[in-house]
Amino acid sequence: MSLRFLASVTAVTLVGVALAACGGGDSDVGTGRAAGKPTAAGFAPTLAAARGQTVRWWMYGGDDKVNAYVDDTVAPAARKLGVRVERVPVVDTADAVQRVVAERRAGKTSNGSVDLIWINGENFAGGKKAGLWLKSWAKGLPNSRYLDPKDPTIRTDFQVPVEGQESPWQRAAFVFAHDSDRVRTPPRDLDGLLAFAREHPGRVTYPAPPDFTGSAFVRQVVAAKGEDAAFAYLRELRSVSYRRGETYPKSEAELSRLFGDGQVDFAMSYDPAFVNSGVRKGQFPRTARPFSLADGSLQNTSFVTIPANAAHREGAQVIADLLLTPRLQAAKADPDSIGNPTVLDLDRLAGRRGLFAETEDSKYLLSDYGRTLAELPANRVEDLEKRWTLEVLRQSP
Amino acid sequence: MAALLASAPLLALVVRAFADEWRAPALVPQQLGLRGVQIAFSGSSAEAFGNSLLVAVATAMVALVLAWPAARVLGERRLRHPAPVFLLLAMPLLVPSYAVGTGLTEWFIRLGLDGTLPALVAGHLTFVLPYVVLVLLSGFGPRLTALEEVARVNGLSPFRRLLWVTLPAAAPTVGASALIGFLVSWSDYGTSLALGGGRPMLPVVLLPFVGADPQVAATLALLFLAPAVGVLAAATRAGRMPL
Amino acid sequence: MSGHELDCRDLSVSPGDSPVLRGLSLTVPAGSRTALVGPSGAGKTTLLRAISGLQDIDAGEVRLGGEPIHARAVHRRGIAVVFQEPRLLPHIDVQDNVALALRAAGVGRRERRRTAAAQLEEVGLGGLADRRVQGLSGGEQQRVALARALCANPRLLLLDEPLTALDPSRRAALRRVIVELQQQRRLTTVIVTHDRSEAAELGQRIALMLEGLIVQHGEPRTLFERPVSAAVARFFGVSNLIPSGAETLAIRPEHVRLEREGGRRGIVVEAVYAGDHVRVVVECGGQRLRAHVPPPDAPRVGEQIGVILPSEHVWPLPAATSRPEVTGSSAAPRVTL
Repeated sequence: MSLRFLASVTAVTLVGVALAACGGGDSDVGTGRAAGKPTAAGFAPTLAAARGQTVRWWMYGGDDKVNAYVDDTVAPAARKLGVRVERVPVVDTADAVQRVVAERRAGKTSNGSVDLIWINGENFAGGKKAGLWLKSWAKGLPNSRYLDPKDPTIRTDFQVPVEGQESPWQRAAFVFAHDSDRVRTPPRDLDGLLAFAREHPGRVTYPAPPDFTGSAFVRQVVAAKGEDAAFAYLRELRSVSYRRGETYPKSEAELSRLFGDGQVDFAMSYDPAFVNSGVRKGQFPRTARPFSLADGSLQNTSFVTIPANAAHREGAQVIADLLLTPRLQAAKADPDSIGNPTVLDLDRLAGRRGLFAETEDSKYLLSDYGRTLAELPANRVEDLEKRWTLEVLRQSP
Repeated sequence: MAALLASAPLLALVVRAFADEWRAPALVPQQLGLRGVQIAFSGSSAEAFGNSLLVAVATAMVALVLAWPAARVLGERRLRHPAPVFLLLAMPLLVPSYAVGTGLTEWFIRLGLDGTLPALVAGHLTFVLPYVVLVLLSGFGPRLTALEEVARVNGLSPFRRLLWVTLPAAAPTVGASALIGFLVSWSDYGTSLALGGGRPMLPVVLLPFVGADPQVAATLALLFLAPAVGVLAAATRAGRMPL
Repeated sequence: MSGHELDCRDLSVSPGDSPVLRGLSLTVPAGSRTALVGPSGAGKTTLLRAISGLQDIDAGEVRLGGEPIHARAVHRRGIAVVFQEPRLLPHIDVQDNVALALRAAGVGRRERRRTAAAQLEEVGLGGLADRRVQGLSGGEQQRVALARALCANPRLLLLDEPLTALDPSRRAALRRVIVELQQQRRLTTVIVTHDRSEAAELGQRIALMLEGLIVQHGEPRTLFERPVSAAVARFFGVSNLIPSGAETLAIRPEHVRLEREGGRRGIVVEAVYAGDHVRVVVECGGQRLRAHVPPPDAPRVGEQIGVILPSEHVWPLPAATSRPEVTGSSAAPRVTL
C-alpha cells in the first residue's frame, strides 16, 4: 500500500466534475449471476471465458514492491489460468477513472481499455454513483468466502456500501515510526505524544493538511478525541512542534526525509508497511520501528474494481479472485514483499492459516494496530482541513 | 568549466540512482548498490522505452514535415497578419497536456484509434508542433531565403538548391528543432497516458516514482535523459552544436 | 571573356501595393561598368533583383546581348550577383563556395578546385581555399563572394552595395579589386551604391535613380557638372542653383571663387571647417552662395568678400526640367548617355 495511491483517493475534483457531466447512466451488464453464495462451479464459465484474455490493470505505479508483487507473483499465478496481466502504471487513480469516463462519453460501452483498477474512497464512490462499474460481480468470487462479510471495512469503502462492485485486496492502517536508537519507548497515545513534544520541543511534526497523510493524522486525532478537543490538542501541539509550527512538512515524503535525516523523532503514514519500505529504500535507519497509539488507528481497505465496459471482464474477475487466495494474500503480507496485512478473515482459513505465520515477527511491521478507528465520510474531510488551516495554521501561538 | 557546471546536476542524479542508502547529514551515500537499476529495468520499462522512442521519433519527423512550410511562410514574413497564426500555434501550449489528451481521447475512441501509434503521434503533435515551428523560425526566415537566392543566381536548379543549399544550411536548425520535438514528445505524461490506452510509455512508468522513490526515479530519469545526452554528444563530436 | 549589352526597357515592378520601378529604362553597353546611385528607397536593389530575376516584373523587358531574358528562370540567366552581405554557405568551405556555379554546371571536382583557387588568388585570398567561411573577416567574406560571382563566368555582373558592410579602410582595397577585375575581363557590370563619390570611382558611367526611374546616365563628370535637373544637381552636391531670368544656373561650390577685391560683393554668414576645405556661405544680393575654399584662404564670418562665378563652370539647367523634383510622370527625362 502506498501513500501516493492513498493520496489519489482525495484527488476527486477532476473526476467528480467529469462524472457529474456523464450522469447516472445505467450499466446493467453484470455477470448474470445472482448475488448468492459463491461456488467453484458457478465460477467455471467465467474461468473458461477468461482463458486467453489479457487484463490491463490500471494502478498506482510508484511502489516497487507492489509492482514486483503484481509482476512476479500475481502474473505467474494468472498465467497458469491462461490469463495475462498487464500493469498500467498511473500517478493518480483518478487518471484511470478519467479514462473510463472518456470512454463512456465517447459511447464505448464495450471493449474498454481499462479492465481492472486499484481503487478506493471517493474515486470508487464517484464511479459507483455514475454507474461506471460492473455490478455485483465481487460476491460471486469463490475466494470471497474467506472474507468477513460483517467487517465494516470490507462491506463499505469510506462508508459507501461496496455492493459487489469492488473486491478487496489490501489493507491500510495509520501507523507511526520511531528510531529505537534515539527514542527507546515511543509515546503510548496522543497525550503521550504531546508530553514528548513538550519535553523535546521541535522534535515532533506532521504534514500540513490537505496533504493526504497530514489530513489523516488530523482525522486520527478527531476520531480519538472528538472534533473540538482535537483542535485544542493540535493547537497545543503546535507551540512545541518542529520550528514552533511556523512551517509544516508539505508531504509525507518530506516528513519521512526529516525523520530519516534525524531532524524529527517520528514519521507517520497510512501505509502500514512504510517503515519496511523506508528501510528498504535506505531512507530510514535500520533501527526504525513502527508503532501505533492506544487511542486506535484509522483503517481502511483498498479494492479492485472492474469498469462496466471492460474488454476482459472475465479475466479481471479471475485476477480479483486470485488476489484473495490465501497463498497470494500471504505472499503479499511477507515483509520481503509488500508487507501488507491480509484482507482475509484468518478464522475462516482453517488449515491454511499457517501461511501467515511469518508476518508476525517482522520488526518493521506491526501485528496489531490496536482499536480500529473508522474512516469519516469524504465530505467531512474537507471541512476538517479548512478548520485546521483556520484554527491551527493561521493561529499565532 | 561550463561543461563541468552543466554536468553537476547530472552527476548528482547518477549518485542518487546508485545510492541504496543515503540519509543526511552524510554527504555521500551510506551504501551504494543496484536496487534502482534492478527496479527500473524490471516490468515494462524496456517496452515503455521502445514505445516512447518510436512515438517520439515519429512525432518529431511528422512535426518537421508539417512545420517546415509553416516556418518558411512565417519566417519570410509572407503573411500580412502573422499574429493569429502564432496564437493558433501557441494555443496547445496554454492548456495542460493532460487536458489536451483527454479532449482528444474521446475523439480517438470514437474513431477507434485510441491506443494506436498514429493516435499517440497525433496527440503529441498538438503541442510538439508549436515548439518545432518556433525553433525552425529562429533559423529560417530571411537568412535561409538569402542563401537560396545565392543558389539561384549561381545556376542551381530548384532540386539541387534544396539538396545542396537549403537542407544543409538549415540542418543545424532542423536538428535542433527535431531534438526539441523529440524531447517534448518523449517527456510527455498527460497525452501519453490519456491516448495510450494502457500502452506502456516511459514517462507514464517514471512519473509515479517521483517523490515516492527517489532512487528509482533518479535511475529512470537517467534512462530518460539517455537519448538527449546521446544526441547532444553526437552533435558535439560532429563539431557543431545544433543550438 | 567579353560582356553582353544590358538593355532594360520600360520596367515596372510593384511588390506589394506601391510601385517601385515605374517604366524604367537603362542601357549598359557591353563590357562597361555603370554605377547605379540614388537615395535609399529609390529602387536600386529592386532593379538589380528584377534584372537577375529574383523579383518578378509587371511590365517591360530585360535583354542581355540582344536576347530577352526576363522570362527565364533565375538559374538560367547567366547573371552573377554579389549581395550587400557576403551570403556564404556556412556548411561548405571557401573553395566550394567559390566553385558553386561550376558544381551546378557539372564541372569535375578537381577542375572546380583549380579554378576556385585561381579565382581566390585574383581577389587576393590565395591560400584560404580550405578554410571554413565562419573564420573569415567581413572583408575576406565579401571577397569570397566576389570570387564566387566571377567564377560563374557570368554574362553580366550585378553588385548590390558590396562595400557598405565594410569599414572604410577596407573599402578602397576591395573597390580597386572590383575595378581591376572588371577591366581585365571586360565584364558588363552594374554596381549599386548610395555614395556619389564612390559611384564616381567605381563607374565608367553613373546612372542616377530617383523614385523608380533613371533620371540621368552618363560619365561621372557629366552628372557632377552638367546635371539635367535641379534634383540631379542636388544629389551630386551642386549646391548653388541661381535663378537667372527664365533659367536656372548651376555651379558646384568648389568652383566658386572668393576674392578680397572685386567680384559680386557679399557678406560671409557661415564658415565651417571641414578638414580639406572650409564651407563658406556668402549672402550676396539676397542670395546665399556656397563655396568650398582651401583652409588658408578662408574668410571669417562677417567679412565682406567678392564672389566670382567662372563662366566655364556655370551650367544652365535645361529649362524643361528646372522644376524642383522629378515628377515621376513619363515626361521625366530619360537620358541614356
